[in-house]
Amino acid sequence: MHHSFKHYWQLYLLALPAVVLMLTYRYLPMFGLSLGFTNYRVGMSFDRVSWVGLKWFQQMFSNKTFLNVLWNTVYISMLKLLFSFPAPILLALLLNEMDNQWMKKRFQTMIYLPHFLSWTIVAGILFTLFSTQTGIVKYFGMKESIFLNPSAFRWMLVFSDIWKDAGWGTIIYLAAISSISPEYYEAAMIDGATRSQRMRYITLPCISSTVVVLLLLKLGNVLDAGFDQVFMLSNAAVLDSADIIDTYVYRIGMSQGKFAVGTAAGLFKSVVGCSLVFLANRAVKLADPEAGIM
Amino acid sequence: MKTVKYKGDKVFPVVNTVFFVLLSLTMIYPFWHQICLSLSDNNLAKSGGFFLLPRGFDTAGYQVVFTSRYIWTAFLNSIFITVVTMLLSLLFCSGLAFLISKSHVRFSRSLKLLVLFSFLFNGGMIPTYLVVKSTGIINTLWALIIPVLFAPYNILIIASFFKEMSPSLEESALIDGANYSTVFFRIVLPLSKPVLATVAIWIAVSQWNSYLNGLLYINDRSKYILPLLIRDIVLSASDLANLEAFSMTNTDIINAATIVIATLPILIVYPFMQKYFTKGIMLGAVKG
Repeated sequence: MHHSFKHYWQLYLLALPAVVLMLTYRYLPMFGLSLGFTNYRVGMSFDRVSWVGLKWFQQMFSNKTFLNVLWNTVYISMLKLLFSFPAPILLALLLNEMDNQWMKKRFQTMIYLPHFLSWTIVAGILFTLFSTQTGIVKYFGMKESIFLNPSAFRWMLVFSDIWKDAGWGTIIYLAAISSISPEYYEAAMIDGATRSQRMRYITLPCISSTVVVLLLLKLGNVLDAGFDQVFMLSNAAVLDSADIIDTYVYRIGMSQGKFAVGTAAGLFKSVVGCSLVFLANRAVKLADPEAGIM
Repeated sequence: MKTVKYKGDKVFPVVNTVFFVLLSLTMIYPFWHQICLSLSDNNLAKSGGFFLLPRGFDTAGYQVVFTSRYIWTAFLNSIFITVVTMLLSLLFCSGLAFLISKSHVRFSRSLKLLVLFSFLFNGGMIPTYLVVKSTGIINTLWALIIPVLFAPYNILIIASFFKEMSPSLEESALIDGANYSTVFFRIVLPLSKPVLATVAIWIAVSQWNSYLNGLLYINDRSKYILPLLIRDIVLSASDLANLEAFSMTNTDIINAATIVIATLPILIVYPFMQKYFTKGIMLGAVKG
């Protein structure tokens, strides 16, 4: 192109604010990750900061608390991957089979709703529903609070996650389903395929690329078990089974002022997440060059 | 069209409908429970179980919440950050998206890579906190606005929409002597209303619900946003504990009243947002 900078200056000017914001609030913090290799603590003057190499990382992986936190994070993420991830796919398949469009719309309206609430509100709802004073659990004669039971707690995380976002998650699959050519279904019906056969052999394969993309993004977040949710619902009684990397970083870094250790743990999380996306994307591409996110 | 009917084809729709009726009840009942509980009489509520209607009638829960000095401040603050973030973020993000959508222009491709990378990798909680602190906006509402204005995913979505627009209108305007900012504000933005509306909803919902940034960057009660105040009330750690009314009213009832008040604005705008849901996600699917 023969056009010069002078020709496009207004284009650059329009882009400038976002670029400045990106460099300041996204890329500057990446340089700040180098704090993870120093002895920096809150309130320390920068001329006293010195490099400590991989000290915090070595400490982290010999530290029982951190290893437990890591295990919790992976465990909760895996539970969500196993249960929360397929839930919207299943719901979308079932919604798609609903012949009455009016009813389908009403159901959609209702199952999307919880997505629009913050975890603070959802936590409040759960607290009252499962309250041993006025909650519905009283109906079943439950005396002990579910929020104090470590093993039940993780399942509550999974189910509240499904309650909040499975409905909303169907939208992207319904969009993918709506782009499937109706001719497939017509041909299958003439050949006498049953409803379940049509779901299994037409709908599911046609949305598989969407499933793969979302699965990849989810894998990248495997160390991201959901700060808001865990922070809001957990308490000291279940900390051992509920503490995840993000809540750990918040506690160590922000509450106790150990900035360097917190940064190191955060860096570990970011690097693992990013590498997992790249690796998984590569693996998917090996199987099908057209698939994947990049 | 002649099709073969199977036995399962008759049973399935019924089972499916029943399933969705039950599912919808699970989604709606928790709200109903809050409404009923919040209006119930303290002693009658204590028996627990399912609420079909409020038991007795008492607005004590609401009175307690509304005597909190901070509830209106928090409401206004939340509205402020939601509206300002929505407007500025849309403007800035589509500004960058406009450049990115023109891949023949210099720096366009490298900027796109920078945006994509920032989507996949980030500096994390503490380094970001230090940057926010050093830019001098900590403990102001701007700390909840400025750092989130740049939204990489939204930029990529808007850019892919711009790219699919027919270039003919824009080209003829440029030939007629219009400059790029005129093209952007007069042609591109008005034609992109569907994608902008969808992204606006995403921004609004995430800002209205955002909690972590408030926790990190705000200390003063006078700058509290709604989710922060709700958490304080729900954990009964707020100044409500000092009020006389508190000892008379069950904490569950106060929680329920808080939840109803905080959810109401969402329920009111929800029907108006609905038609933009699917459109936007379709755009997301295109990108994948």
